[in-house]
Amino acid sequence: MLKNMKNYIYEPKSNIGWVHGFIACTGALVCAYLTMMLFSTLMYGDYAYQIIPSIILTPLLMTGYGIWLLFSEKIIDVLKKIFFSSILLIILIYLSIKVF
Amino acid sequence: MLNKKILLLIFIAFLTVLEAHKIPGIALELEKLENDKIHINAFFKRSKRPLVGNEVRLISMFDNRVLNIGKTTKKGLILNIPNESYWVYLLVRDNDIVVDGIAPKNGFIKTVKKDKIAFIYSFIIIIIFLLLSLIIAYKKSINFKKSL
Amino acid sequence: MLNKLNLKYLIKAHTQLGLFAIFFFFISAFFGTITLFLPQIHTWENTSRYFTYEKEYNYKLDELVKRTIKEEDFNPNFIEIKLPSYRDNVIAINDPSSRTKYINPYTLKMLDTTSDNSFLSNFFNDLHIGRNIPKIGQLLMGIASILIIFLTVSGVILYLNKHKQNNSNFNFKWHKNISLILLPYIIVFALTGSVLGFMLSSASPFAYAATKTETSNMRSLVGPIIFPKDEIPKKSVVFEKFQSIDGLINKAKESIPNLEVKTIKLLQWNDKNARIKIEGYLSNNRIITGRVNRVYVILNPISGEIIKKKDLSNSHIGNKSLSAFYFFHFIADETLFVRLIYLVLSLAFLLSLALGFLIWSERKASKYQDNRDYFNFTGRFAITIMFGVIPATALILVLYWALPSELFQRMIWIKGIFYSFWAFTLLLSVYYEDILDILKALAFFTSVFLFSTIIAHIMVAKTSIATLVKAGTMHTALSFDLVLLILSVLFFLFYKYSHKIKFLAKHSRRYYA
Repeated sequence: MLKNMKNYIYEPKSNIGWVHGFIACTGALVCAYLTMMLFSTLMYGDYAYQIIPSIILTPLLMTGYGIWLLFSEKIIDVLKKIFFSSILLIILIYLSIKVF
Repeated sequence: MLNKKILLLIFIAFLTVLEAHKIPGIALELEKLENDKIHINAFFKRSKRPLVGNEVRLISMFDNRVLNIGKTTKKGLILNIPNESYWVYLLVRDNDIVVDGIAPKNGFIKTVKKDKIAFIYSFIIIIIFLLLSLIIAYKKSINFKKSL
Repeated sequence: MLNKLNLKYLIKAHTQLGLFAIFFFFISAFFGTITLFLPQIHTWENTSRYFTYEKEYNYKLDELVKRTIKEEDFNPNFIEIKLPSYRDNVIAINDPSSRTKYINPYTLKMLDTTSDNSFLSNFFNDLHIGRNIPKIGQLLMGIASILIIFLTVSGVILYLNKHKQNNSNFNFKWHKNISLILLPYIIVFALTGSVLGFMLSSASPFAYAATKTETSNMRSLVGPIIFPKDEIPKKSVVFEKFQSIDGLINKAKESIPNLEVKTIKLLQWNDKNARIKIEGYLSNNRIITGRVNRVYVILNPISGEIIKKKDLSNSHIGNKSLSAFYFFHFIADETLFVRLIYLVLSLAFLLSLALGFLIWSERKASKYQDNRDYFNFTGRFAITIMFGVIPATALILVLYWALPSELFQRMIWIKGIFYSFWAFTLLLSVYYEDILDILKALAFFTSVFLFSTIIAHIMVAKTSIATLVKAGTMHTALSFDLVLLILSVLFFLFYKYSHKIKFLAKHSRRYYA
């Protein structure tokens, strides 16, 4: 069973399916939110300056990340992209909260 | 066959509730007190802050006449329970919240069987149409599959 | 540019997400198009607004305000006066908790609003936002809007990659062309729609990050900056003589050039510490001075001196940008001409959405062209969503006037019958063999309902309409009935003669031969 799953994730796909799509969508959502959270922590100014641009830009970022994640031949690539981006962003957010 | 996604969409649309007389974010609560009185509390759901200065009307379920009136204070409002089935209306600027009034200790002298008739009938009709549609659609899909 | 595999992925994503989003977004766009005319609908449905308009206003506010506060026993610590606007041609006065009082701006008589309920305006708006589906409706509409952004971007990428330059497929050619022409329109509405529908209620992560994990309530942080509350001065129970409100308005207009006054707030009126706040927009810069960024002047009504002034020079940039952002979505104070332009764009957009769906459904059907038993439930369901909603909406218009006003739970009946008829159109859509027959049936129902609306309206609002007709000028309510009549005729013509149009007959098995 585990071997089947491993094969499934590693094989290059000729077209996308439910799994690929669902993972890409949620991944795009998570990455977009994390990116704009980082923006919120780094931005100067009062709360309006920090929050309003985030609200407006997040949907555009979701589209951007979605397309980037979509262009992965294997599901393992999608997972890798999501994983490494999220970890990087979370570390950056944590650092900026501590530093600023 | 009948597309599962479509059925999910129909189900979601089905959740459309036919409600009236509610204001998002504001709650109206009634508490029964001794001597056949009710304590009316109106407050904001999130902050629990009470609404002050809003008019409260007790309206008869029979002929819509105003049985009692009051204005809310920081501690709510206490009014006598009328003898007939009634609603409690809270006027928030140009909208209302309506809840059914609590009966007195010995019950109402005049009661009205308040049915949600509109809701029930519409619900039943919608279900009938949906079921008929799904049955016909299923039959036609089967026909089509057979002809392939 | 893109390699073949990525292109293949993008096409499939565009198709699949399009199929998901269209069912929600089409409804939102349809009712959004209806809400373009909310000022007209609001006037038509409330008989209290059936008074003749004259050429000019000449009201004087002092007398009016004094009389209203006294008669209605308003709380003088906060009185709001809204001046007549395009959206509602009345003077509205209210205090924090009582019912708003509406006044005819020409005769200065109080309007009898007992039979007003703005049911249609609120219902259409709720359907547009998705608020009719409890708890998740608004979020789902927001998600559909975000998907439309993806579809637009992916569509442009596909176009730039010269994907399928065959202009032989009618649906494909026009779906592509219309969408490309409407690109700015689509992006504006998809972005503003997704912010309003999804992002505003899901902004807790940003609040969490901005406050360094202190709070996750966005509104408590941004609210006081963008929408500061009016300060009510302390009461001193000393009465003073005030300058005339109209005079103070003129002072405000001198202080801010191009000011169009919309709202006047009386704070702690009749008191020594009273203040008057005169708010409005700039007639030469309506985009940045929308509802989210009104300019105002606060005056001392006894001495007439200006205490505080907010114009474009000291507005927060958040207010300015949000005002511009929302302006294109709501076009709040714009008049008929702008709304008609938006109507044309919206109808084109709805057409593009429908054609997009047709690309998919026709490709599916093309494999079974000679098979008489071909049946695709998704396609039939799509017809219900996209076209069944039209007669259902026409039905609400009839019911609004036709149902007796003493009917118990009247509004729930109207909503219930609306959804029941919509479910009935699903039945029609699976029952008829031929697509054109379904469309003809729907057109027939729409025509009958729209015509009945006019009859019901005239019968119920006889007296009000008679006064309007006697006055001679064309009131909004009468023009509305005229438009309904024209639409009713158009739908009837479609019912009778649509099979003669070659383009439509091609889709129909019965008429194409």
